[in-house]
Amino acid sequence: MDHHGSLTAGVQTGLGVYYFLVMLMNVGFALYYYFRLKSRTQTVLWLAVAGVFLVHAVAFLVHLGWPMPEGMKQAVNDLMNPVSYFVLAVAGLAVFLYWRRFLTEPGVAWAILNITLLFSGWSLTDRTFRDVITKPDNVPIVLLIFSVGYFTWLAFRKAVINDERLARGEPPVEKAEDDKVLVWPDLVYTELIAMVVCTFVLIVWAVFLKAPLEQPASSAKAPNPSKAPWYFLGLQEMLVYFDPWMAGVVLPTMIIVGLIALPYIDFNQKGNGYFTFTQRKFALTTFLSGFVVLWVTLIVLGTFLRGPNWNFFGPFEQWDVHKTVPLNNVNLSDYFWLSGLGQAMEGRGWFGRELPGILLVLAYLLLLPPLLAKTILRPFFIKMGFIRFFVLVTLIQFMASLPIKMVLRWTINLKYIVYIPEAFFNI
Amino acid sequence: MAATDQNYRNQYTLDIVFAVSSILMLVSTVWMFVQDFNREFKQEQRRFRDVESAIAQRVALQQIPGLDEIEAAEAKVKEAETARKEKAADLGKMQDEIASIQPKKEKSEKHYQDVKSEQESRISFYNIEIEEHGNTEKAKRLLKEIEQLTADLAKAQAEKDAHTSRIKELQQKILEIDAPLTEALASMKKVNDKFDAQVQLAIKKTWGLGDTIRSLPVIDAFNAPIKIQQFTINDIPIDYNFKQVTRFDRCMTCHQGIDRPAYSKAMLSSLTEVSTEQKQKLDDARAVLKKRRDALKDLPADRRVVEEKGTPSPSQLDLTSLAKGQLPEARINEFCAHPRLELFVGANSKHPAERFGCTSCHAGQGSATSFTLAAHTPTDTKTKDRWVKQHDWESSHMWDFPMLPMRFVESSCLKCHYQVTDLIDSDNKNQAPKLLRGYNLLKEFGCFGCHEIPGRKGGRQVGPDLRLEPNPPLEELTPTERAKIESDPENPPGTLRKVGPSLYRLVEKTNPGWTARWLMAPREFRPDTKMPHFYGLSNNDPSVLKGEEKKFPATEVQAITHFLFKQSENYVADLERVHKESPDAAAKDQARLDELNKEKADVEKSGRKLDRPKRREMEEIVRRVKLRSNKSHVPLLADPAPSYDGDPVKGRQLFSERGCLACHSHHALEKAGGTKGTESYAPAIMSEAQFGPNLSQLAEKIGNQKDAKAGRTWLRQWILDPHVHSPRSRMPVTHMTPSDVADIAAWLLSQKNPDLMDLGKGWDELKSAQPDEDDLKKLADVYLVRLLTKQELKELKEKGTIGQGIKDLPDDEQDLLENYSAENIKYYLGKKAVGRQGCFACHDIPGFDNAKPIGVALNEWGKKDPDRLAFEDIANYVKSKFHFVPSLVDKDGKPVGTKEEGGVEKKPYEQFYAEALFHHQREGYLNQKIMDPRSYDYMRLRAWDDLARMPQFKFARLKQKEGESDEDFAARANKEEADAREAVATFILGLVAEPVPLKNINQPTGDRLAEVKGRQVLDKFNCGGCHLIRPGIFDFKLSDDVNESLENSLKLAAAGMKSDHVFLNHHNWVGAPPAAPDKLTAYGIIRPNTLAEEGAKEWFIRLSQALRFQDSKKKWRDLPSFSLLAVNTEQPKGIPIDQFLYPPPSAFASAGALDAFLKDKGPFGGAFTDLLVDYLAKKDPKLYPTAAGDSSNARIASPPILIGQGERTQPEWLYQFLLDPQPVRKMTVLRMPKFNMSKDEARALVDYFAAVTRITNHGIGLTYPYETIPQQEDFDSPSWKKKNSDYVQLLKTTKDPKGKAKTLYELRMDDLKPLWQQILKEAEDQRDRAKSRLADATAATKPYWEAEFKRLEKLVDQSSLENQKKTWEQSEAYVSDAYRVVGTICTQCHQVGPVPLKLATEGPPLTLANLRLRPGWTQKWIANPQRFLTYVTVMPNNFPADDAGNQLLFAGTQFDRLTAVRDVLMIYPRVISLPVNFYWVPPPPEVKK
Repeated sequence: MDHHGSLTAGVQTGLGVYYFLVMLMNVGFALYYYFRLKSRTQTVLWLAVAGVFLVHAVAFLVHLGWPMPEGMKQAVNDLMNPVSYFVLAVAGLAVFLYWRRFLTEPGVAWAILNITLLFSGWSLTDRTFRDVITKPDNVPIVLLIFSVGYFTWLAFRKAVINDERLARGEPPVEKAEDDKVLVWPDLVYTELIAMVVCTFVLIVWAVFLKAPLEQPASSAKAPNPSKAPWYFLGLQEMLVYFDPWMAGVVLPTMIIVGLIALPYIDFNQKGNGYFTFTQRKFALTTFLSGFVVLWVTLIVLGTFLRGPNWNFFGPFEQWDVHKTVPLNNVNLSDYFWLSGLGQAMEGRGWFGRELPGILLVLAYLLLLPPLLAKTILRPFFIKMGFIRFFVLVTLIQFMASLPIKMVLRWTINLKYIVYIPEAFFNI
Repeated sequence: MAATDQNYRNQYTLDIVFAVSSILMLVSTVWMFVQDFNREFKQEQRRFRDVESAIAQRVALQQIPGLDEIEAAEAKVKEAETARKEKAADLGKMQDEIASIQPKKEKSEKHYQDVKSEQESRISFYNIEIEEHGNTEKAKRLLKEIEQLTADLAKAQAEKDAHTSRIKELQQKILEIDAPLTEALASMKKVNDKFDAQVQLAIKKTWGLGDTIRSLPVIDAFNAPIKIQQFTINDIPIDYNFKQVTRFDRCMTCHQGIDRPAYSKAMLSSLTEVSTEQKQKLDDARAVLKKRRDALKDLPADRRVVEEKGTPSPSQLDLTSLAKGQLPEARINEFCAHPRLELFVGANSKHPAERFGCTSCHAGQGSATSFTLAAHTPTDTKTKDRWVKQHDWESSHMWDFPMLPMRFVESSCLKCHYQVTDLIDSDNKNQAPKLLRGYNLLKEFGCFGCHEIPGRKGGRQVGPDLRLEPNPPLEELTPTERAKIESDPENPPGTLRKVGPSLYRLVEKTNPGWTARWLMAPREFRPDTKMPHFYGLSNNDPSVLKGEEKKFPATEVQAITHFLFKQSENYVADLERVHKESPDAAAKDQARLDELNKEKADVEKSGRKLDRPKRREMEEIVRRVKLRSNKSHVPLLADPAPSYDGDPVKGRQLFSERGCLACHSHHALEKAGGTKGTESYAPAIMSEAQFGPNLSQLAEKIGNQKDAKAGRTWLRQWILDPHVHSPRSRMPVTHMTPSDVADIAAWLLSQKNPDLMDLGKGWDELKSAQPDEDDLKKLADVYLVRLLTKQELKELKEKGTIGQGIKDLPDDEQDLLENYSAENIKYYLGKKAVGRQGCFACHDIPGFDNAKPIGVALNEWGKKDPDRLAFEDIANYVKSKFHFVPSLVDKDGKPVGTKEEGGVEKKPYEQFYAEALFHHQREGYLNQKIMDPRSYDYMRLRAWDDLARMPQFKFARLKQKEGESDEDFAARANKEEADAREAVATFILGLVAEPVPLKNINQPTGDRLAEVKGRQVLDKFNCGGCHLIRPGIFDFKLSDDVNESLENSLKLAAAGMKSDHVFLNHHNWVGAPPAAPDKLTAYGIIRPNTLAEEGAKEWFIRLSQALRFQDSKKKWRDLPSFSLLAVNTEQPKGIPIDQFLYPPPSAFASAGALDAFLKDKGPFGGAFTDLLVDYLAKKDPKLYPTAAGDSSNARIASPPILIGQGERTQPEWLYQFLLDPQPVRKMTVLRMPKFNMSKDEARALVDYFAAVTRITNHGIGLTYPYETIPQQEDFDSPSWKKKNSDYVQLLKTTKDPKGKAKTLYELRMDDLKPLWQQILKEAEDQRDRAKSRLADATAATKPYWEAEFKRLEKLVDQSSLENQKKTWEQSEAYVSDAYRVVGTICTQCHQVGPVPLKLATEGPPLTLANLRLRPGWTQKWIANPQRFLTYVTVMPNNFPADDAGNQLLFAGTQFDRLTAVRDVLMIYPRVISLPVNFYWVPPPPEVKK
């Protein structure tokens, strides 16, 4: 009768197997340390970690039914909101970039993976979390988290090694090694194997997770939440902060234009054909904040944390259709005229009313670039020349408009900077 | 760096990786095939194949022909064979000869062809030669050759023909010799045909090697025997929101036996074992096959090969059984045939699967081929648990139309059966009892008053139409207005009346004290009232309300009471004013109204509204105008017998006898009243009727008024003519005298507490605690807070007005704020509450005449998206109030009671509904909404006027049985209520408004439509409360036991049949042949066998139609109507209960169970008649003697049976009778009341009766709405003339049966002469008198007397003996003799003249017959009245077929006599006025004992 019944026998056994596999991974890692790297302490450490997982595995296999502590769930739910989520994502990127050397150590990375897996395992005892995570639609996103994480780590690991070599005046690893390989057998054989493995994975996936079809579409009833395909969930998240014409037309266009323009903008000759960070700090940071923070994490947010009515739900929070969140957002003109000057809005006409906002936007787009060219980005301006510089800055401005708008929304409940409903033009 | 030949990766490692991944891919590929091979439906079909062959084997064994037949056929073959053998020598010779001639024949044919082609070639040469060269030598030579060849050809042909004809001749001879054998073989084949075919099928169905190979994994992709089966239904598409998509139903893929009659559950469950009997049969079958092979052995070789091919070999026939585990109950359910294939699925049924598919009725995902995806839905938690275990079942949220659980399966009928009553078959079998119950409950409780169910969408009908009639009703409109309303195709007028009484004159009926209490809790006063509860519910009981709201319910109830009385007072005052006003008042009003209208038009031109006082004035005038126009039917309340107090003793008897109990019940009648043996005695008569209210506590309701006599006056008036008070009441006028009415009123008002039941305190008080002004103001704030600012509210509280601000408010608030007094607030609050709670949905309330329904329209509720239902916190509510049970009855069938949990008494709640509720399914919502409509407000913060408004109904209105404990009663009531609720839910869930193509919709026409529509009118006026209208239907199997019982019945009926005239085309004498070969259907009424011992479950069925069956000698026999069929008795042998198909054997478990089953599904109507018969027999055993458990005299004193009513009365008479019934039967203790029915309704009833007869008794060729009655033509019409002349001829040729000296003609002359003389003499006297008056006449009177004298002189001339004789012979002989029969026999019991006979068994006056009765029926009725009644008639069979009869009165056979009686009855007034009859004095009636 318990509708939210959390820990069924099947789930417990599944989790037991999961912990057992993680335990095996750690044993493998320990053995790797023991035999390859001959590090006794590391071996003991990872065996101990394996032990923790083994305890979990046993507990779940004998169906002790350890749930995740309610307090912990509550704490996570309470901590989580769009603001903290986004701030954490940005902070995470910053931390990762700053302490990249430490964090790309295999042991550290492995530890992070272990913590992630342990937390995931705990979380899976929660019905809501499990339902969301295991929905056939969402499984690719789970894979996405781990794959993006892994490849980012891998690139940085290599970059860190190369950077050290470069600092010592040595060529990067890629240059040192002969990277020319034969088409046959090396390339073709590998491709063949890849095809075979891919086929295998697809079949297994298809057998386990049937095509997640939903009920027939209806004009009278929209699914709630109505979600875009996963790869567009980042865009959908933008809709929270921008009007559709902006979030759905202008910004995506800028993304495409920006990607096309990249080769022409990039003036940095270094870093071709090898991993490096120090030589391409600006490019990589910009890319990572655009791709990982503004794109991938927003997809994750949209998939797992946005529920009915596009409300934000903590990972362990029941998706209740009736949750209502106050939306008392205010336009800039309101701030300016009502709060600031204490004057009425009525009878001012849209131009007069929105003039402050319009000026602000124009200033952002037209004044900021030359200002930057004069000041902190002067080296860029010199290297790139007028057009390239302005294209770059404009693109970055558009990219930055999202976090700027987000911050404004969170801090001062700003709805629109320019609000002209008469012309369906809102920024 | 240059490329090297070094490999980048280790080849060996890559090889390993490649090997492993390849193996993995192989494994996954194989796995994929395994998955495909094990798809659910494939497994099911593989399981089915064994079942299929096992059933084919068993069916084959059932088809073994009779041993005698086989042996006879085989003997014939043998015989023919021997006969043939004798001629074997001849045959051999002939065959030899044929063999020898055959080569010669072929040779000669060849030769002939050769010569012919030679000849044709020459001819062509010749023709060419002639054409090109003329008649040359060559031509001549050729001609010669041609001649030669022609001669050769003739010779060759002769030779060829000789051979051919010889062979033909021989073959013919051989054929002749062979003929007997061929025939014998053919007849043997015929005997075995079915058997052979079935055996072949059984062999074919046995899985062979080919099938096995074709169904191997992977290979099964190509034409496997296992495959998906589907129906493609284009006509009933699935609504995919954007597109109507063809329906593909693949259910047959697993439900393989669904359309095969042999796949019964019994058959399937018997497959797991082979009984010895079956083994024996198998041996027999094999023996039969073997014998046949043997019989064929001696055949000539060529014949044998042919015959053996068609004869299965014994070794091929086998009998396999299935492992027990292979056929558990679930799989039997899966494989078995659909129940009632003759109605569903079967190709010849009304709902063939090819046309309707499966999901159009059952819903679910038809394209799916797996259990869960098909959206199977369990009907209870037990099933659900099993499914979860076996199929990993979960409810499919991805399909909008999950399968209907079995409990709601009847819902789907509504998709096509919009009339609903068309689900009752023409033979009165109720095909969807649950749905119909729901439908009737909806109508009974007036759900349609708040919830619109128009049954229309986009201009076409999509469901049943349940709508209120227009206000004012059609009958009160002018023809133009009426035509306008009726011509709207989008919105034709509704037909249903409000279910509650009108409250226009409430003030005259009862007192405010009672009304307020009643409003608070109607069921506390009258536990079985239809009125729902509006207060004390889960969202407005003071215990759940907070703070000042605690007082709101009481305040509001007082306000409503005040409002209703105020409105009523105004209305009555208006009425009085209109009755007493001066004659020019109407004109004055009209003038003022015109003035106001003009002003209004002016004001509205400038976009403003007329001032409120003027608007109010207009409203008042309009009200008065309306009252005046209706004045004739709205009299003032007056006591019909003011000086008479009434006699309660007589009142009780009248109340019991006059039909009140057909609709009402009364507690006090449970016990007998008065003293036995005296006039005052009134036996107990306990009615279960709930059509009208239970009248037990009338005294408390209307007896307490300020004016002590007011209630009495009201009650008297109401009984006399209810329409004075409530014009649309369905209660009829019962034709009672003012003193009768006073008696009944006196009795009803004398029945007071605590004689009846404990009501608790206070109901007899006139006044109740009034709310103080503060409470009223607080409640008014609920509404005002939305219209006024805080400031204004404060001002209002302080000053009692808000000044100018009033103007912007709605009218009601303006009225209120103008005078913010307690009185006014009460009125305002009452009006608000009435409007909010929709009281006007059931009651006519002044001021709410055209208010809109307040509820959600139910037209499409059945597919309402559950997301749009506000479930709120219902889960916690239900959990806190109920304990969950798998079923509301325990294992022994006893209803489950309450249970204590955590210190709270919790009522049981069916888990099915709980889960449906928790999973947010509409069934769950609906059930809870009906059960406790306010519970969705649980723990919600809502303003008083935002609270849920639906009141709480109680559908099952039970009475506590004697000796039943309170707990048991509560549990039973809970269970019954749940059943009723489910019936209502079944109906509502069927309201899906899906436009099904017209051709699939059941659109009854002609007679059937009349029947269906008529049934609705019968229900509307509760005709069945008194009359038995349709017989019950009983189906049973045809078996030896049944046959024996029927033959017994026939023997018992034989005596009665001897004196019977048989009408071959009438179903009372000759039944219809059985509709199915293995089933018989009887119609009639079932009664407990009073002769059987107490408690014995034995019954008799009294046939109301003849039953046709084949006796043991295969001869067709008819058990005529009135015959008895015994049920379950030993002596006489009865039909065993297990042979019954309908009612099912389980219904016969006890008398109570049978009654319960028959309640909606048995005979239609007659409950009160049965009660009354019992009552009368007890009251006056002398007048109403009882024999064989029934009292004929009491029966005829009760409302008549209406079975066959259509053939009995003339349609026009019945129509007039229904609209204004006149007394017909003298012996009844009550009269047919006058119902408030429209002409259309009366017409519908007339058509109903005619249609029923036409459908059930089509042989008699009934016509309607008109019938021509040939007897009513003039005497000089050819038919009358012929009848008369034939009859005179008969008289002349027939001798007096006694003396035999004279002919009957001479006797008649002897009889008539004195009569004629008397007539002549009277005519002469008259003439003489006229003559003398003429002599004395004055000038003024002279012309008159002259004419009179001439007329009488002519009359005397006509009355001469010769003339009279001539007239008699020409046109009067037949009718006057027939009249003498009537005068001698019929007048014994039937009144002719003005003086009633005052017999207990007096029949209807004969003078009515010509207007009332149909001639066809009259004849058959006279022939044998007993055949038309289900009780022993008091009308004797006066013309028994086995008796010579009254030849002296009327010559001819008995049949001629009864025909003649019928003929004169049809023209009775005319016959009676003929002088020859007028002057004839009938013999005095024999006084019957």
